[in-house]
Amino acid sequence: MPIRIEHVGRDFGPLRVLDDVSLAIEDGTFVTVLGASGCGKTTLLNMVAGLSAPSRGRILLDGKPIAGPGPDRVVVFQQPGLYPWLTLRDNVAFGLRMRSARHIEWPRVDEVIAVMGLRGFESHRPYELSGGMQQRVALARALVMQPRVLLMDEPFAALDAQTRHNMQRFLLELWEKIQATVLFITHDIDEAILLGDRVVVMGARPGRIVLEQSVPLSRPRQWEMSLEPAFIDLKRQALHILAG
Amino acid sequence: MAETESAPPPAVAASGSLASRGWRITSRYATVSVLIAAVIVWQVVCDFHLFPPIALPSPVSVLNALILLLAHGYGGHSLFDDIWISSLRIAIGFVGAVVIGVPVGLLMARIDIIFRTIDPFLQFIRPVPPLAYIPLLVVWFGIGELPKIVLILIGTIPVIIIGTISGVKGTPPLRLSVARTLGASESQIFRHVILPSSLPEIFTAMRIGIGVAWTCLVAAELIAADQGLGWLVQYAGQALQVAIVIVGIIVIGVLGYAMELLIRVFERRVVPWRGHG
Ligand SMILES: Nc1ncnc2c1ncn2[C@@H]1O[C@H](COP(=O)(O)OP(=O)(O)OP(=O)(O)O)[C@@H](O)[C@H]1O
Ligand SMILES: [Mg+2]
Repeated sequence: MPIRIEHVGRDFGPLRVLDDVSLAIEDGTFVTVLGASGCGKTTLLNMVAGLSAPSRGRILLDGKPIAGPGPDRVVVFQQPGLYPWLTLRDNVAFGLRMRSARHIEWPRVDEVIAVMGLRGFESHRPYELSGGMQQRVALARALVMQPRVLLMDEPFAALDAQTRHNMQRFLLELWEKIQATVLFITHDIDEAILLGDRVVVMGARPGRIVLEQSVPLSRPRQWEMSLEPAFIDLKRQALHILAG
Repeated sequence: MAETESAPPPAVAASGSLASRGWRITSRYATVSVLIAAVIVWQVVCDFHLFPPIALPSPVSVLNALILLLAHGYGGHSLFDDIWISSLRIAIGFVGAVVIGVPVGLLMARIDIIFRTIDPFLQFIRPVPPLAYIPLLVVWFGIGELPKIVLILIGTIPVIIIGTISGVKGTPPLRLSVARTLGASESQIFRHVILPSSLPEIFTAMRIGIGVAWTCLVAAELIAADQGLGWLVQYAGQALQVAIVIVGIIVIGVLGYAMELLIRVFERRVVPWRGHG
Protein backbone atom coordinates (compact mmCIF):
# COMPACT_ATOMS: atom_id res chain seq x y z
CA MET A 1 0.00 0.00 0.00
CA PRO A 2 1.42 3.39 -0.92
CA ILE A 3 1.95 5.97 1.83
CA ARG A 4 1.83 9.74 1.23
CA ILE A 5 3.08 12.05 3.92
CA GLU A 6 2.03 15.58 2.96
CA HIS A 7 3.44 18.68 4.70
CA VAL A 8 3.16 17.03 8.07
CA GLY A 9 4.05 18.89 11.26
CA ARG A 10 3.79 17.79 14.86
CA ASP A 11 3.98 19.87 18.03
CA PHE A 12 4.19 18.76 21.63
CA GLY A 13 2.94 21.83 23.44
CA PRO A 14 5.26 24.67 22.46
CA LEU A 15 7.84 22.21 21.10
CA ARG A 16 7.84 21.97 17.30
CA VAL A 17 9.13 18.44 16.79
CA LEU A 18 8.36 17.98 13.09
CA ASP A 19 7.94 20.67 10.47
CA ASP A 20 6.70 20.29 6.92
CA VAL A 21 7.71 16.69 6.30
CA SER A 22 6.67 15.34 2.91
CA LEU A 23 7.47 11.85 1.74
CA ALA A 24 5.92 9.53 -0.81
CA ILE A 25 6.46 5.81 -0.38
CA GLU A 26 5.34 3.73 -3.36
CA ASP A 27 3.67 0.39 -2.91
CA GLY A 28 6.17 -2.33 -2.10
CA THR A 29 9.18 -0.10 -1.59
CA PHE A 30 11.60 -0.17 1.28
CA VAL A 31 12.39 3.26 2.70
CA THR A 32 14.94 3.72 5.45
CA VAL A 33 15.13 6.80 7.68
CA LEU A 34 18.30 8.07 9.31
CA GLY A 35 18.55 10.89 11.79
CA ALA A 36 20.12 12.07 15.02
CA SER A 37 18.57 10.99 18.30
CA GLY A 38 15.57 13.13 19.19
CA CYS A 39 14.98 14.51 15.69
CA GLY A 40 11.45 13.08 15.54
CA LYS A 41 11.79 9.72 13.77
CA THR A 42 9.62 7.85 16.25
CA THR A 43 7.12 10.70 16.23
CA LEU A 44 6.79 10.38 12.46
CA LEU A 45 6.46 6.61 12.57
CA ASN A 46 3.79 6.77 15.28
CA MET A 47 1.70 9.03 13.08
CA VAL A 48 1.95 6.63 10.14
CA ALA A 49 0.98 3.85 12.56
CA GLY A 50 -2.10 5.89 13.48
CA LEU A 51 -1.16 6.11 17.16
CA SER A 52 -1.09 9.90 17.06
CA ALA A 53 -2.34 12.53 14.65
CA PRO A 54 -0.36 15.23 12.84
CA SER A 55 -0.70 18.80 14.08
CA ARG A 56 -0.47 20.00 10.47
CA GLY A 57 -0.70 18.31 7.09
CA ARG A 58 -2.00 14.81 6.46
CA ILE A 59 -0.93 11.25 5.90
CA LEU A 60 -2.65 9.12 3.27
CA LEU A 61 -2.57 5.36 3.16
CA ASP A 62 -3.76 3.93 -0.14
CA GLY A 63 -5.23 7.38 -0.86
CA LYS A 64 -7.22 7.59 2.37
CA PRO A 65 -6.32 9.64 5.45
CA ILE A 66 -5.11 7.53 8.37
CA ALA A 67 -7.78 7.47 11.07
CA GLY A 68 -6.11 5.16 13.56
CA PRO A 69 -4.06 2.01 13.90
CA GLY A 70 -5.03 -0.92 11.73
CA PRO A 71 -3.91 -4.49 11.16
CA ASP A 72 -2.77 -3.53 7.63
CA ARG A 73 0.16 -1.71 9.28
CA VAL A 74 2.23 -3.61 11.76
CA VAL A 75 4.76 -1.86 13.96
CA VAL A 76 7.99 -3.06 15.50
CA PHE A 77 8.64 -0.59 18.29
CA GLN A 78 11.95 0.61 19.64
CA GLN A 79 11.32 -1.42 22.83
CA PRO A 80 10.05 -5.02 22.63
CA GLY A 81 6.79 -4.36 24.53
CA LEU A 82 6.09 -8.06 25.13
CA TYR A 83 3.35 -9.31 27.43
CA PRO A 84 5.01 -10.83 30.50
CA TRP A 85 2.06 -13.11 31.28
CA LEU A 86 2.28 -14.81 27.89
CA THR A 87 4.83 -17.38 26.77
CA LEU A 88 7.12 -16.58 23.85
CA ARG A 89 4.89 -18.57 21.50
CA ASP A 90 1.70 -16.84 22.68
CA ASN A 91 3.39 -13.46 22.36
CA VAL A 92 4.26 -14.24 18.74
CA ALA A 93 0.70 -15.43 18.09
CA PHE A 94 -0.89 -12.42 19.81
CA GLY A 95 -1.90 -10.58 16.63
CA LEU A 96 -3.22 -13.73 15.00
CA ARG A 97 -5.28 -14.45 18.10
CA MET A 98 -6.77 -10.94 17.96
CA ARG A 99 -7.65 -11.52 14.33
CA SER A 100 -9.32 -14.88 14.96
CA ALA A 101 -8.88 -16.80 18.17
CA ARG A 102 -10.05 -20.06 16.63
CA HIS A 103 -7.86 -20.14 13.55
CA ILE A 104 -4.35 -19.38 14.67
CA GLU A 105 -1.96 -20.69 12.05
CA TRP A 106 0.43 -22.38 14.44
CA PRO A 107 2.71 -23.77 11.71
CA ARG A 108 3.40 -20.22 10.58
CA VAL A 109 4.00 -19.12 14.15
CA ASP A 110 6.47 -21.94 14.69
CA GLU A 111 8.20 -21.22 11.39
CA VAL A 112 8.82 -17.58 12.30
CA ILE A 113 10.04 -18.64 15.74
CA ALA A 114 12.51 -21.00 14.09
CA VAL A 115 13.75 -18.39 11.63
CA MET A 116 14.33 -15.95 14.49
CA GLY A 117 16.48 -18.55 16.21
CA LEU A 118 14.12 -18.83 19.14
CA ARG A 119 13.31 -22.52 18.91
CA GLY A 120 13.50 -24.26 22.26
CA PHE A 121 12.32 -21.14 24.10
CA GLU A 122 8.65 -21.34 23.07
CA SER A 123 7.34 -21.76 26.61
CA HIS A 124 9.65 -19.17 28.18
CA ARG A 125 8.26 -15.93 29.55
CA PRO A 126 9.71 -12.63 28.25
CA TYR A 127 11.55 -11.93 31.50
CA GLU A 128 13.41 -15.20 31.05
CA LEU A 129 14.86 -14.00 27.72
CA SER A 130 17.80 -11.73 26.95
CA GLY A 131 17.20 -8.24 25.56
CA GLY A 132 18.14 -9.27 22.04
CA MET A 133 15.89 -12.31 22.20
CA GLN A 134 13.01 -10.15 23.39
CA GLN A 135 13.50 -7.85 20.41
CA ARG A 136 13.44 -10.87 18.08
CA VAL A 137 10.17 -12.00 19.63
CA ALA A 138 8.74 -8.54 18.95
CA LEU A 139 9.96 -8.86 15.37
CA ALA A 140 8.44 -12.32 15.00
CA ARG A 141 5.15 -11.06 16.42
CA ALA A 142 5.00 -8.41 13.68
CA LEU A 143 6.25 -10.52 10.77
CA VAL A 144 3.89 -13.42 11.43
CA MET A 145 1.06 -11.05 10.50
CA GLN A 146 2.47 -10.78 6.94
CA PRO A 147 1.33 -7.15 6.80
CA ARG A 148 1.06 -4.97 3.69
CA VAL A 149 2.86 -2.18 5.53
CA LEU A 150 5.67 -2.75 7.99
CA LEU A 151 6.79 0.11 10.24
CA MET A 152 10.04 -0.57 12.06
CA ASP A 153 11.65 1.65 14.68
CA GLU A 154 15.32 0.71 15.09
CA PRO A 155 14.35 -2.95 15.36
CA PHE A 156 17.90 -4.29 15.28
CA ALA A 157 19.58 -1.70 17.50
CA ALA A 158 19.72 -4.02 20.50
CA LEU A 159 21.18 -7.01 18.63
CA ASP A 160 24.78 -8.19 18.36
CA ALA A 161 26.48 -7.86 14.96
CA GLN A 162 26.01 -11.50 13.94
CA THR A 163 22.34 -11.69 14.89
CA ARG A 164 21.69 -8.32 13.29
CA HIS A 165 23.23 -9.62 10.10
CA ASN A 166 20.96 -12.67 10.10
CA MET A 167 17.92 -10.58 10.85
CA GLN A 168 18.70 -8.15 8.05
CA ARG A 169 19.05 -11.00 5.57
CA PHE A 170 15.87 -12.62 6.80
CA LEU A 171 13.97 -9.34 6.59
CA LEU A 172 15.12 -8.79 2.99
CA GLU A 173 14.13 -12.32 1.97
CA LEU A 174 10.75 -11.99 3.59
CA TRP A 175 10.20 -8.56 2.10
CA GLU A 176 10.93 -9.82 -1.39
CA LYS A 177 8.37 -12.55 -0.77
CA ILE A 178 5.50 -10.54 0.74
CA GLN A 179 6.22 -7.28 -1.13
CA ALA A 180 5.31 -5.11 1.83
CA THR A 181 5.78 -1.37 1.97
CA VAL A 182 8.43 -0.78 4.61
CA LEU A 183 9.31 2.32 6.64
CA PHE A 184 12.46 1.43 8.54
CA ILE A 185 14.13 3.72 11.09
CA THR A 186 17.75 3.16 11.98
CA HIS A 187 20.81 5.06 13.13
CA ASP A 188 23.13 2.66 11.28
CA ILE A 189 24.08 4.21 7.93
CA ASP A 190 25.29 0.91 6.41
CA GLU A 191 22.05 -0.77 7.39
CA ALA A 192 20.00 2.05 5.91
CA ILE A 193 21.77 1.81 2.54
CA LEU A 194 21.95 -1.97 2.37
CA LEU A 195 18.27 -2.48 3.11
CA GLY A 196 16.59 0.48 1.47
CA ASP A 197 15.39 1.36 -1.99
CA ARG A 198 15.53 4.90 -0.76
CA VAL A 199 17.34 6.54 2.11
CA VAL A 200 15.85 9.52 3.91
CA VAL A 201 18.01 11.60 6.24
CA MET A 202 16.29 13.81 8.78
CA GLY A 203 17.61 16.94 10.44
CA ALA A 204 16.70 18.10 13.93
CA ARG A 205 14.99 21.05 15.61
CA PRO A 206 12.56 21.06 14.03
CA GLY A 207 12.68 17.62 12.46
CA ARG A 208 12.52 17.75 8.68
CA ILE A 209 13.83 15.84 5.70
CA VAL A 210 17.22 17.09 4.54
CA LEU A 211 18.18 14.35 2.08
CA GLU A 212 16.21 11.84 0.05
CA GLN A 213 18.21 9.55 -2.22
CA SER A 214 17.42 6.36 -4.05
CA VAL A 215 19.97 3.63 -3.50
CA PRO A 216 21.72 2.76 -6.78
CA LEU A 217 22.30 -0.88 -5.87
CA SER A 218 20.68 -3.91 -7.51
CA ARG A 219 18.54 -6.51 -5.79
CA PRO A 220 18.95 -8.95 -4.24
CA ARG A 221 21.40 -7.14 -2.01
CA GLN A 222 24.70 -8.71 -1.07
CA TRP A 223 26.87 -7.63 1.83
CA GLU A 224 29.85 -7.08 -0.47
CA MET A 225 27.90 -4.24 -2.05
CA SER A 226 29.00 -2.06 0.84
CA LEU A 227 32.38 -1.92 -0.91
CA GLU A 228 30.96 -0.53 -4.16
CA PRO A 229 31.67 3.11 -5.05
CA ALA A 230 27.95 3.90 -5.29
CA PHE A 231 27.47 2.68 -1.72
CA ILE A 232 30.43 4.63 -0.42
CA ASP A 233 29.27 7.74 -2.24
CA LEU A 234 25.87 7.64 -0.62
CA LYS A 235 27.37 6.84 2.74
CA ARG A 236 29.65 9.87 2.46
CA GLN A 237 26.67 12.14 1.73
CA ALA A 238 24.70 10.81 4.69
CA LEU A 239 27.68 11.03 7.02
CA HIS A 240 28.30 14.58 5.94
CA ILE A 241 24.75 15.60 6.89
CA LEU A 242 24.59 13.62 10.12
CA ALA A 243 27.91 14.99 11.31
CA GLY A 244 26.43 18.48 10.76
CA MET B 1 8.04 -5.00 46.16
CA ALA B 2 6.89 -8.53 46.92
CA GLU B 3 10.25 -9.81 45.76
CA THR B 4 12.28 -7.89 48.30
CA GLU B 5 9.93 -8.33 51.21
CA SER B 6 9.24 -12.01 51.08
CA ALA B 7 11.50 -14.86 52.04
CA PRO B 8 12.93 -16.38 48.86
CA PRO B 9 12.07 -19.92 47.88
CA PRO B 10 14.83 -22.41 48.76
CA ALA B 11 15.91 -22.89 45.12
CA VAL B 12 16.64 -19.20 44.73
CA ALA B 13 18.46 -19.00 48.03
CA ALA B 14 20.60 -21.97 47.07
CA SER B 15 21.59 -20.45 43.74
CA GLY B 16 22.13 -16.97 45.17
CA SER B 17 25.61 -15.58 45.74
CA LEU B 18 27.48 -16.62 48.85
CA ALA B 19 27.32 -13.11 50.22
CA SER B 20 23.54 -12.85 49.93
CA ARG B 21 23.17 -16.34 51.37
CA GLY B 22 25.23 -15.40 54.37
CA TRP B 23 23.17 -12.27 54.79
CA ARG B 24 19.93 -14.24 54.72
CA ILE B 25 21.13 -16.67 57.34
CA THR B 26 22.28 -13.79 59.54
CA SER B 27 18.98 -11.96 59.14
CA ARG B 28 17.04 -15.10 60.01
CA TYR B 29 19.13 -15.52 63.16
CA ALA B 30 18.58 -11.86 63.92
CA THR B 31 14.80 -12.28 63.93
CA VAL B 32 14.98 -15.32 66.19
CA SER B 33 17.52 -13.70 68.52
CA VAL B 34 15.47 -10.55 68.92
CA LEU B 35 12.40 -12.66 69.73
CA ILE B 36 14.27 -14.72 72.31
CA ALA B 37 15.88 -11.61 73.82
CA ALA B 38 12.48 -9.91 74.11
CA VAL B 39 11.00 -12.92 75.90
CA ILE B 40 13.98 -13.08 78.28
CA VAL B 41 13.71 -9.36 79.09
CA TRP B 42 9.99 -9.82 79.60
CA GLN B 43 10.62 -12.73 82.00
CA VAL B 44 13.29 -10.78 83.92
CA VAL B 45 11.02 -7.75 84.27
CA CYS B 46 8.36 -10.05 85.71
CA ASP B 47 10.82 -11.79 88.06
CA PHE B 48 11.78 -8.45 89.56
CA HIS B 49 8.09 -7.57 90.08
CA LEU B 50 8.44 -4.21 88.35
CA PHE B 51 4.75 -4.41 87.47
CA PRO B 52 1.99 -6.19 89.33
CA PRO B 53 1.61 -9.71 87.84
CA ILE B 54 -2.05 -9.07 87.15
CA ALA B 55 -1.06 -6.28 84.74
CA LEU B 56 1.96 -8.02 83.23
CA PRO B 57 1.88 -11.81 83.48
CA SER B 58 5.15 -13.59 82.80
CA PRO B 59 5.86 -15.49 79.57
CA VAL B 60 5.49 -18.70 81.52
CA SER B 61 2.01 -17.84 82.75
CA VAL B 62 1.03 -16.76 79.23
CA LEU B 63 2.21 -20.16 78.00
CA ASN B 64 0.14 -21.78 80.75
CA ALA B 65 -2.86 -19.71 79.71
CA LEU B 66 -2.39 -20.92 76.13
CA ILE B 67 -2.27 -24.55 77.26
CA LEU B 68 -5.33 -24.01 79.41
CA LEU B 69 -7.13 -22.35 76.52
CA LEU B 70 -6.24 -25.18 74.15
CA ALA B 71 -7.37 -27.80 76.67
CA HIS B 72 -10.53 -26.27 78.08
CA GLY B 73 -11.41 -23.22 76.03
CA TYR B 74 -12.76 -20.04 77.58
CA GLY B 75 -16.20 -18.61 78.23
CA GLY B 76 -17.98 -21.71 77.01
CA HIS B 77 -16.21 -22.39 73.70
CA SER B 78 -12.84 -23.64 72.66
CA LEU B 79 -10.06 -21.50 71.21
CA PHE B 80 -10.56 -23.28 67.90
CA ASP B 81 -14.21 -22.27 67.84
CA ASP B 82 -13.13 -18.64 68.17
CA ILE B 83 -10.46 -19.03 65.51
CA TRP B 84 -12.89 -20.79 63.23
CA ILE B 85 -15.68 -18.25 63.55
CA SER B 86 -13.28 -15.33 63.05
CA SER B 87 -11.70 -17.00 60.02
CA LEU B 88 -15.09 -17.72 58.52
CA ARG B 89 -16.17 -14.10 58.94
CA ILE B 90 -12.98 -12.79 57.42
CA ALA B 91 -13.16 -15.24 54.52
CA ILE B 92 -16.72 -14.27 53.63
CA GLY B 93 -16.13 -10.55 54.12
CA PHE B 94 -12.82 -10.45 52.27
CA VAL B 95 -13.89 -12.60 49.34
CA GLY B 96 -17.05 -10.49 49.14
CA ALA B 97 -14.95 -7.31 49.09
CA VAL B 98 -12.78 -8.64 46.26
CA VAL B 99 -15.75 -9.94 44.28
CA ILE B 100 -17.45 -6.54 44.55
CA GLY B 101 -14.40 -4.28 44.57
CA VAL B 102 -12.53 -5.55 41.50
CA PRO B 103 -15.43 -5.31 39.00
CA VAL B 104 -16.50 -1.93 40.42
CA GLY B 105 -12.91 -0.70 40.16
CA LEU B 106 -12.65 -1.94 36.58
CA LEU B 107 -15.92 -0.23 35.64
CA MET B 108 -14.88 2.98 37.37
CA ALA B 109 -11.54 3.01 35.57
CA ARG B 110 -13.17 2.46 32.19
CA ILE B 111 -16.39 4.47 32.34
CA ASP B 112 -16.11 8.06 33.44
CA ILE B 113 -19.73 8.51 34.47
CA ILE B 114 -19.49 5.50 36.80
CA PHE B 115 -16.28 6.85 38.28
CA ARG B 116 -17.89 10.21 38.94
CA THR B 117 -20.94 8.58 40.49
CA ILE B 118 -19.11 6.33 42.90
CA ASP B 119 -15.94 8.28 43.68
CA PRO B 120 -17.55 10.86 46.04
CA PHE B 121 -18.90 8.05 48.23
CA LEU B 122 -15.50 6.40 48.23
CA GLN B 123 -13.78 9.64 49.22
CA PHE B 124 -16.33 10.10 51.99
CA ILE B 125 -16.07 6.58 53.37
CA ARG B 126 -12.29 6.36 53.31
CA PRO B 127 -11.28 8.91 55.98
CA VAL B 128 -13.91 7.64 58.45
CA PRO B 129 -12.36 4.97 60.72
CA PRO B 130 -14.38 1.74 60.27
CA LEU B 131 -14.83 1.64 64.05
CA ALA B 132 -17.10 4.66 63.80
CA TYR B 133 -19.66 2.63 61.90
CA ILE B 134 -19.99 -0.07 64.54
CA PRO B 135 -22.68 1.59 66.72
CA LEU B 136 -24.74 2.29 63.62
CA LEU B 137 -24.35 -1.26 62.35
CA VAL B 138 -25.31 -2.69 65.72
CA VAL B 139 -28.48 -0.58 65.78
CA TRP B 140 -29.35 -1.64 62.25
CA PHE B 141 -28.29 -5.28 62.21
CA GLY B 142 -27.85 -6.32 65.87
CA ILE B 143 -24.84 -8.36 66.90
CA GLY B 144 -25.19 -11.26 64.46
CA GLU B 145 -22.92 -12.07 61.55
CA LEU B 146 -24.26 -9.45 59.16
CA PRO B 147 -22.86 -6.31 60.84
CA LYS B 148 -19.38 -7.86 60.95
CA ILE B 149 -19.43 -8.79 57.29
CA VAL B 150 -20.77 -5.34 56.40
CA LEU B 151 -18.02 -3.67 58.40
CA ILE B 152 -15.36 -5.72 56.61
CA LEU B 153 -16.91 -4.74 53.28
CA ILE B 154 -16.98 -1.04 54.23
CA GLY B 155 -13.35 -1.12 55.25
CA THR B 156 -11.96 -3.31 52.47
CA ILE B 157 -13.91 -2.48 49.31
CA PRO B 158 -12.42 1.04 48.95
CA VAL B 159 -8.90 -0.40 49.22
CA ILE B 160 -9.63 -2.97 46.49
CA ILE B 161 -11.38 -0.43 44.25
CA ILE B 162 -8.57 2.11 44.50
CA GLY B 163 -5.92 -0.55 43.81
CA THR B 164 -7.85 -1.85 40.80
CA ILE B 165 -8.28 1.62 39.33
CA SER B 166 -4.60 2.40 39.76
CA GLY B 167 -3.74 -0.95 38.16
CA VAL B 168 -5.84 -0.17 35.09
CA LYS B 169 -4.52 3.38 34.81
CA GLY B 170 -0.98 2.12 35.26
CA THR B 171 -1.02 -0.10 32.17
CA PRO B 172 2.15 0.79 30.23
CA PRO B 173 1.18 2.76 27.08
CA LEU B 174 3.49 0.63 24.92
CA ARG B 175 1.47 -2.49 25.74
CA LEU B 176 -1.66 -0.70 24.55
CA SER B 177 0.04 0.59 21.38
CA VAL B 178 1.28 -2.89 20.53
CA ALA B 179 -2.20 -4.36 20.86
CA ARG B 180 -3.76 -1.52 18.85
CA THR B 181 -1.33 -1.90 15.97
CA LEU B 182 -1.90 -5.66 15.96
CA GLY B 183 -5.58 -5.00 15.33
CA ALA B 184 -7.04 -5.67 18.78
CA SER B 185 -10.49 -4.22 19.44
CA GLU B 186 -11.19 -2.17 22.56
CA SER B 187 -12.79 -5.13 24.32
CA GLN B 188 -9.89 -7.40 23.34
CA ILE B 189 -7.42 -4.83 24.65
CA PHE B 190 -9.33 -4.73 27.91
CA ARG B 191 -9.42 -8.50 28.29
CA HIS B 192 -5.98 -9.41 26.97
CA VAL B 193 -3.87 -6.41 27.99
CA ILE B 194 -5.43 -4.16 30.64
CA LEU B 195 -6.80 -6.90 32.86
CA PRO B 196 -3.54 -8.87 33.19
CA SER B 197 -1.56 -5.63 33.47
CA SER B 198 -3.59 -4.54 36.47
CA LEU B 199 -3.31 -7.86 38.34
CA PRO B 200 -0.11 -7.01 40.25
CA GLU B 201 -1.69 -3.83 41.64
CA ILE B 202 -4.87 -5.73 42.50
CA PHE B 203 -2.80 -8.19 44.51
CA THR B 204 -1.05 -5.36 46.33
CA ALA B 205 -4.49 -3.99 47.20
CA MET B 206 -5.55 -7.44 48.40
CA ARG B 207 -2.53 -7.68 50.68
CA ILE B 208 -3.30 -4.30 52.20
CA GLY B 209 -7.00 -5.16 52.20
CA ILE B 210 -6.66 -8.37 54.19
CA GLY B 211 -4.97 -6.41 56.97
CA VAL B 212 -7.73 -3.81 56.93
CA ALA B 213 -10.39 -6.54 56.91
CA TRP B 214 -8.80 -8.27 59.89
CA THR B 215 -8.60 -5.00 61.82
CA CYS B 216 -12.27 -4.28 61.10
CA LEU B 217 -13.34 -7.72 62.16
CA VAL B 218 -11.44 -7.80 65.43
CA ALA B 219 -12.76 -4.32 66.23
CA ALA B 220 -16.32 -5.45 65.54
CA GLU B 221 -15.87 -8.54 67.67
CA LEU B 222 -14.44 -6.46 70.51
CA ILE B 223 -17.54 -4.32 70.68
CA ALA B 224 -20.41 -6.49 69.59
CA ALA B 225 -20.00 -10.25 69.55
CA ASP B 226 -20.35 -13.35 71.67
CA GLN B 227 -17.78 -15.41 69.76
CA GLY B 228 -14.53 -14.85 67.95
CA LEU B 229 -10.99 -13.76 68.82
CA GLY B 230 -11.92 -10.12 69.37
CA TRP B 231 -14.62 -11.18 71.76
CA LEU B 232 -12.15 -13.51 73.56
CA VAL B 233 -9.72 -10.65 74.17
CA GLN B 234 -12.46 -8.30 75.32
CA TYR B 235 -14.13 -10.88 77.61
CA ALA B 236 -10.85 -11.91 79.23
CA GLY B 237 -9.88 -8.26 79.65
CA GLN B 238 -13.09 -7.51 81.53
CA ALA B 239 -12.29 -10.44 83.83
CA LEU B 240 -8.73 -9.04 84.25
CA GLN B 241 -7.26 -12.27 82.88
CA VAL B 242 -4.40 -10.53 81.12
CA ALA B 243 -2.55 -13.75 80.22
CA ILE B 244 -5.49 -14.82 78.10
CA VAL B 245 -5.71 -11.35 76.58
CA ILE B 246 -2.07 -11.68 75.53
CA VAL B 247 -2.67 -15.15 74.08
CA GLY B 248 -5.58 -13.71 72.11
CA ILE B 249 -3.46 -10.85 70.79
CA ILE B 250 -0.71 -13.24 69.71
CA VAL B 251 -3.20 -15.52 67.93
CA ILE B 252 -4.74 -12.50 66.18
CA GLY B 253 -1.30 -11.36 65.05
CA VAL B 254 -0.19 -14.78 63.85
CA LEU B 255 -3.44 -15.36 61.94
CA GLY B 256 -3.23 -11.94 60.30
CA TYR B 257 0.31 -12.68 59.18
CA ALA B 258 -0.70 -16.13 57.92
CA MET B 259 -3.47 -14.62 55.81
CA GLU B 260 -1.06 -12.25 54.14
CA LEU B 261 1.32 -15.12 53.44
CA LEU B 262 -1.55 -17.04 51.89
CA ILE B 263 -2.26 -14.16 49.52
CA ARG B 264 1.43 -13.95 48.63
CA VAL B 265 1.48 -17.64 47.70
CA PHE B 266 -1.60 -17.10 45.58
CA GLU B 267 -0.02 -13.99 44.06
CA ARG B 268 3.13 -15.82 43.08
CA ARG B 269 1.05 -18.36 41.19
CA VAL B 270 -1.19 -15.85 39.41
CA VAL B 271 1.34 -13.10 38.64
CA PRO B 272 4.72 -14.80 38.43
CA TRP B 273 5.98 -11.91 36.30
CA ARG B 274 5.58 -9.45 39.16
CA GLY B 275 8.73 -7.40 39.67
CA HIS B 276 9.96 -8.32 36.19
CA GLY B 277 8.29 -5.37 34.45
N1 LIG C 1 4.73 12.48 24.03
C1 LIG C 1 5.64 13.47 23.95
N2 LIG C 1 5.49 14.60 24.66
C2 LIG C 1 6.40 15.60 24.59
N3 LIG C 1 7.50 15.55 23.84
C3 LIG C 1 7.71 14.46 23.09
C4 LIG C 1 6.81 13.35 23.11
N4 LIG C 1 7.27 12.39 22.28
C5 LIG C 1 8.40 12.88 21.77
N5 LIG C 1 8.67 14.12 22.25
C6 LIG C 1 9.83 14.95 21.88
O1 LIG C 1 9.94 14.94 20.49
C7 LIG C 1 11.29 14.87 20.10
C8 LIG C 1 11.48 13.72 19.12
O2 LIG C 1 11.21 12.49 19.77
P1 LIG C 1 11.30 11.11 19.00
O3 LIG C 1 11.02 10.04 19.98
O4 LIG C 1 10.44 11.17 17.80
O5 LIG C 1 12.84 11.09 18.58
P2 LIG C 1 13.66 9.98 17.74
O6 LIG C 1 14.11 10.64 16.50
O7 LIG C 1 12.85 8.75 17.60
O8 LIG C 1 14.91 9.73 18.68
P3 LIG C 1 15.70 8.36 18.98
O9 LIG C 1 16.59 8.12 17.83
O10 LIG C 1 16.49 8.69 20.22
O11 LIG C 1 14.69 7.28 19.20
C9 LIG C 1 12.12 14.74 21.36
O12 LIG C 1 12.67 15.99 21.63
C10 LIG C 1 11.12 14.36 22.43
O13 LIG C 1 11.48 14.95 23.64
MG1 LIG D 1 12.95 6.86 18.40
